[in-house]
This record gives sequence, C-alpha cells and structure tokens, in this order.
Amino acid sequence: MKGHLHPITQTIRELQTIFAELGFNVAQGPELETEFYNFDALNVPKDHPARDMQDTFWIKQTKADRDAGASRQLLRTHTSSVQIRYIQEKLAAHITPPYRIIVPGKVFRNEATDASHEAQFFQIEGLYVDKNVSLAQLKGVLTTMMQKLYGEDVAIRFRPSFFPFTEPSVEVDMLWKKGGEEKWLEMGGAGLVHPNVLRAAGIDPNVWSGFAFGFGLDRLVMLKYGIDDIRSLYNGDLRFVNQF
Amino acid sequence: MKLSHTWLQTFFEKPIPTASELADLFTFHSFEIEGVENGVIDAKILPDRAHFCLSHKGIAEEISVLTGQSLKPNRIPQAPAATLDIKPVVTITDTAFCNRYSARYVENIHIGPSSEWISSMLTALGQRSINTIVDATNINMFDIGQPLHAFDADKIRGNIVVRAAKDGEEMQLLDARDPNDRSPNAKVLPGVFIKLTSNDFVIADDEGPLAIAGVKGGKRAGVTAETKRLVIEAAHFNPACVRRTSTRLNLRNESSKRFENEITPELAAEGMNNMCALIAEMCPEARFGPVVDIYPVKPTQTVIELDPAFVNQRLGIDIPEKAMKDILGRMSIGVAGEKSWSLTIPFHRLDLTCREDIVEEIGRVYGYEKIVNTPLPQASLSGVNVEFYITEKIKNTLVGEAGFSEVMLYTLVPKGDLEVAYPLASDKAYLRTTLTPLMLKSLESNARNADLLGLEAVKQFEIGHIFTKNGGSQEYISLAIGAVQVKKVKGVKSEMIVAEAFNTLSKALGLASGSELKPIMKTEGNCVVGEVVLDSALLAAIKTGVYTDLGFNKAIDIVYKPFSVYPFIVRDIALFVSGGETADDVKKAIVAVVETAAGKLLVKGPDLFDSFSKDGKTSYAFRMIFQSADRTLSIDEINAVMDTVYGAVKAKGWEVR
Repeated sequence: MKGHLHPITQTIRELQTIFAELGFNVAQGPELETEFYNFDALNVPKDHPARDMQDTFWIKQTKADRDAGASRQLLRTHTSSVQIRYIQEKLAAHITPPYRIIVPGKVFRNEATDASHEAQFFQIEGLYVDKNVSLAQLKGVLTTMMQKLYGEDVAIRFRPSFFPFTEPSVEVDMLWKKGGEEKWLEMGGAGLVHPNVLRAAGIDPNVWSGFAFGFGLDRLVMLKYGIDDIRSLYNGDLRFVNQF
Repeated sequence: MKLSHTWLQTFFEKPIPTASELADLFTFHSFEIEGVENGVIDAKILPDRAHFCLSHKGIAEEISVLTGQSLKPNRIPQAPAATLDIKPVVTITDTAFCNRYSARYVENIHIGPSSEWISSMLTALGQRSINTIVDATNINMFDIGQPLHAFDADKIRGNIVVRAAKDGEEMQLLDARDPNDRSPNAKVLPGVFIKLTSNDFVIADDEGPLAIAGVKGGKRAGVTAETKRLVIEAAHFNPACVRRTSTRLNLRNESSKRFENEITPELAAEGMNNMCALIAEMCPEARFGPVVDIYPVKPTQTVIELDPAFVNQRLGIDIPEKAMKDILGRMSIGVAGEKSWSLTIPFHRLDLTCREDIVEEIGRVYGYEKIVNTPLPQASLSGVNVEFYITEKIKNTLVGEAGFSEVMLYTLVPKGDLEVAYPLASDKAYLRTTLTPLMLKSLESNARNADLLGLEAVKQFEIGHIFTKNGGSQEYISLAIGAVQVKKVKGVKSEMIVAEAFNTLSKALGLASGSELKPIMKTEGNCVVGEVVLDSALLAAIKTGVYTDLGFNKAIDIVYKPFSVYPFIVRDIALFVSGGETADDVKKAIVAVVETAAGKLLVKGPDLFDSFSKDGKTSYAFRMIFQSADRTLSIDEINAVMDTVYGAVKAKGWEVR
C-alpha cells in the first residue's frame, strides 16, 4: 500500500512544476540564520520600526559569543534571506543575472499560536533578477501561478504596501471563486527588489532590477483543501496526512 | 492609527468623501484599512508612511493627493507674539541625539477640563481627556504628528539640558506600565521609579532628570491642577535612541512611536506654534515669552533625479508625463528639468529617498489596477538543486515503494543545544537536535488510531532540519523513519520494517555497498525510529538527475474532512453462512442494518478481515468502527447497535460466532 505525501510537499511539488516551466530553479538556505541575511542585507536596519513587522525568535547568545562579538543568530522569519545568499553564491561562481529562483522553506515567527497562526510555517519565495524588470511582469507570473494552482478563472490584484526589501511594495490579493461565491483573499507580499538589497548582494542596481514575492504555503494549502486549523499540518497525525 | 472623519474634514473647505469611501481610496492607493466605525477609520500605517501619516494632517494631504481637493490655507492661526522677556536657557550636549529643541515660557494659564470638541475628538481616537494643557499636547500630536511636552515651569530648578542619563540615575514617573509585563494589558502602576543607563537621554534641570526625552515626562515637573506657568517643549530626537529606551523600559507610547519612526525636525516649529495658538484659545489671558529654538543642523532637502521613462518601465504601464507631474505636484514635490527631472522632496516625506520610491508614489496614485499581466522572456531551466532533488527522491521511495506517510513535526522542542530567547513556552525553548523524540511520540499516538486508519502497521517519516553545536556546521538535514507493527503478525517486528525501509532507500539512492545508510535506532515500547543525518558527504555520494525523473504530480484534489477528537469503539462481528453467500452479500446485509442503527456514528467498515471455510460452512469476520464527532460514545450505546445487527443476521439464518 502506498503512503501519503504531506500536503505541503504536494503543493511545493506542484509549484516547482509550474515555475520550472517559467525557467525558475529551486534554491534553499538555512533555517538558522544570521541577523545579516535575515534583516540587515534586506534593508531592515537595527533599531528600526520595520523590525517589529516580524516577531523574531532570537537565539540566546552565550557570554563567550557576545564577548567574541559573534553575530546574532535567529530562526529565519522569511525565506527572503535566501535572496542574498543565492545571489552571493552565483556571483562567487562568476554567474551574473538573469536569475530565476523559487525558495520553498520553513520559517518562524514568535507569536502565540491558534487555528490560524503557527510559530512555524512554510513560505514560497520567488526572485527574478534581470534588466528592466517590471511590476507588470510580476503580475503576469503571479497570475500564471494562481491560475495553474486554482483554475483559469482566478485573478490577481495589487494593493500598496510596505516591505523594507521591495520598492514599490504590494500586497497580492486573489479573486477566489467557488460555487457561485467570489471573494478577494490576501495571498502574500511582493514587489520590485529594493536597490539597497541588490547592492547588499553585490549587484549594481543601475544595471539590474528584480521582483520578489513571498507567499505563505500553509495558507495556499489550507485554502485548497478547506483546512480550518493550521496546527493540524504539524501535529504528525496520520488521520490528517493520510487523507492526502 | 485612528482617524476621525470629522477631524479630517477640518483641513478642507469642501466636503470630503465619506469615511467608507475614504477607506476604499486608501485601501487601493495608500495603505491597509483595519476597520471603519462611527466615522473613525483605523489605518494600518507601516514604517514608510509613518514619517508623516501618523497624523490627521498627513492623512489630509493624502486625501488631497488622491482626490485633487485642495487643503484649506491658514487653518491654524499664528500663535501670540511674546509679551514677556522670560525664556528658558537650554543646552543640548549631544546633537546626534537631539537636533532641535524649541522651548517657550507661558504664564497665567489655568488648568481645567477641556472643551466638548477636544474631549470628543480624543475620545473618538480612544484617548482619555485629562486637562486643558495635557489634551492640547495630545491634540496637536494627533493633528500634525509632532509630540509635545509641557513642564510646570515653577518646578524646574535652573537651566534645561538635553543630555545622556548617568548609569543608575533614577527618576519617578507619574505612572507607568509594569516594567516586567510586556503584554498589551499590563497594569499601570502609579509613581514608578525607573533606573536609567547612559544609553538613555533625558531632559534635565540642575537637580536631575525631568523627562525621558521623547518618551515620557517625570512626576517632578509634571503639569498638575495647580500649575500656573509652563515651559512648552517641541523637539526632535534620534529615532533609534528613542526606540531603544522606550523598548527597554516598556514605555512605548504615542510619543515614542512618532519619534522612533522619525519625523522631520522642521515640524517642531509648527508644533510649537500650534500648541501656543491652542493655549491662547483655551486661556485667552495667557502671556508668552519668546520662542527659544536650538537647531544646530538644518536638514537639506532631498533631490531625486528621475527619468520619467524609468517610472513607466518599472511599472510596466504607459503613464503620460503630464499625469506624473500632476501627481507629484499634488504631493508638493517640485519638478524641474525637461527630459530628466530633478525632484525636490518636501521635508516631511522622509520615505522618499530614491527614484524607486517615486515609482511607487506615481504607481499607487495612478492605480495598480492599470497594470496588465506581462510574460517573462522565455528561459529554460538547467541543473537541479541537489538538496531538493535528493530529499524529494527519498520521499518518493518511502511513500511509493515502502508505503510510508510523511509527517512534518515541530522544530522547537524542550531540549537541545541552541536556546531561543523569549520562547512561547518552556517546552518549546530549544531547536531540535534530532527528529526522533517527536517521531516516537507521533508513532505512539497514531498507533492508537491504527484501526481507524485501517493500518496493520503505522509507518511514517520526516525529513527536516536539525541544529547542533557539534561539528563544523550547526544545521543539518535529517531523515527519521519510524514504524510500529500494531497487528501481531508472526515474524514481523517494527525494527524490521524500519531496517527494510533504509535498505530499500539505500538501493534506490544508488549507494554503494559499504556506504549504505546507517541509522541510529531508538525503540520505545513497540515503536521504533531510525534516524540518519544527510550530511554533505552523503549528499555528494548520491547521483542526481533532472526534476522530471521525480514524476511530480499536481497536488491531490480532495476535500479535507475534519476528524473527530473523541475516542472510537471497535467492534468485530464473525459469522458462519451455509447457503453459499459471498462476503459481499453478508456485508450488504450488515450495512443495511448498521447504517440505520448507528447512522453517522459508523465511521469505518464493515471491513472484511478474515474468512475461512470448514465443514460446508464459511466464516466471515468484519470490523466496524464507531465514533461521534462531538462526544464520547458510551459502550452501552454501541452494544445496543451491535445487538440489532446480531438480531438481523440471525434472522437470516446465519450463525454468529
């Protein structure tokens, strides 16, 4: 008898297939991150209110670490930390843009858990770096993604937002239709990569530009299957997993 | 930020759109709206807009930009000129912390309740009306975004200095949230003494601190019902310092919020004027000294060079230059130049520092709905991500060939090498060093549901990250495979299932003999887990191919069914038939009666699990599982169901064993 793949894995695989057709490869990075990759390089300075936008699990430093001036570690609050790592790695191998990657991975937020909040969840990050990248291209790619996931009749819209690592920044809503009903649902954040981020990664923002997006995978999975409690994704209960 | 529609209207001559119309405009052009109630709009102001939108004035400017309605000129009158010669002596010791400090002496004021209008405006924003002077500082802060402070001039000893606190220096506050309780509903305690450090900044006199700069006033020179003379402060403090101090002391409030988000020092003059104008209105007999204004370095206005074609390229829309200039004009951004523009940014727009910021301003006002889906240039994919390829290949093997199900368990656990600061719970304080303990727990609880799941053995695995202090790296990918043989089958043990799975996997991954996976095994009761770390040497030993080898499918298309959390009851029925009836005949007969007797309580079965023939008779054994979605079933209740079933099958002439 065959076993069952976790619905998060199934969704990551479907997204991989969709994005492979658009030329995007998968990239990965550590869950235990440094302050640099998770915040500083993403244009989120120390002692800045933007740090409050994500409740962070900081790793306790030993006195020895502190005295040695070791950089602070944390559990990554978003898969965006892989943007910088990926670009640096490519540049070190003398590979210049265009870059197209998706980053599926586990992220963490230090917030109380309930049916719709978990301290750990999955995100899928997308990054495209090329010349003359536009919001219209971002919208095109996200529309393709959502239509392949949820059917041809879904649509995407942008609302203004703020993320330190993108400029302009948008919230992405999807028009969801089911049984004659339709509503706009918040899917995630996106935008054009902030020039400071490209600079921090070592690329010249006067030559290159990019878009990036980050969506909660749990949300995509819960929406697709009508799952009402995010915690059921992580309690290891086969009464859940074996339905998929 | 709560915004009163009535208040916003005071900035305009003509009627502005209704609160709900404004909420829609803001949603699609400015920022997220969290709610609209009784003419109060609750806007989620994020750090970029917080430089100017934590005020009704900033929002009114936004309305003006979005609707084209012009703002009323001279809305607030000029404050009275000085008629006294008394002025505070102020020194700033660190201009990197305080870049502007305005102070003004006022006398002959009276403290009393505020006017109906002022107290109703404060109430609408969820604030408490306190007295004329305190309310005047708050009203002006919510009006233009400049925090202000009023000291009782009679209680200031000597001169005013803005300086770093001394380590261990103490001051008493009128009241403060319990410094040890960081929850939003922390108790407010009266007369709290706080201890300062040299990283904090204070406004002090000859005796000591009078206020924590930008955060909170002290008790000593606070305004009371008896206050007759004031020193008004309108200042500019360093955002990061205010943030550090207010966070450390658990004193974050409306004032510190505005300073930590950074406001322009230019605003202080307007704050001082408006505050004094309001005092003059409240206390017409008040007399003022001259304004003291220490402003060491006036900021220079930001100039952004922009080619309008860049805006259209980034947005992917074709906005006429005239429309762009119109939007910039409404934002009071000066435009000079023909082909390439030099944009002069107003002081309060600290969010606008590069041309990409201007792309956003034009894009959001013009309307993101005008953006049309555009495809990327064609590109094909080459190469695979090794880590992803191998973990997915492992999943394929375990799920497909070996029949294991995949679980994803928690990273934060009670024990480990690396500890998180401020954990959500003490049993979630460490990063896991191994997947095994949670896997054993999960196996054990799944084993209890084996009947419900229709499993003779529970088989599951996880691939996830573990974290350790040992070795060169702190983070590894680990694979745990677990099994528990629930049904007793001769010769089958949980250990063997796990060992067999690792063998199958070693073969599927093409690992050479001698370098097969060597898991660390752990047993608890009948549950067995084997775990192996997929370190870089191991990953390097596994051959990868192309993604299409992995045969990824679309995610399964099902509707998820929530399951009951209540205990279930298993009942078997075994019977002999002698008329050549098939298992299916018997099953149908049982179904016909049990579905009526048990209804929705029958959650699984009847499933045939045994049959044999002997002496011309055939025995069939079926299993049924009963469970309620909303309560614990009683044994009696299910016994009654079973009695009905027994009666029905006996009536058919079948013999219940």
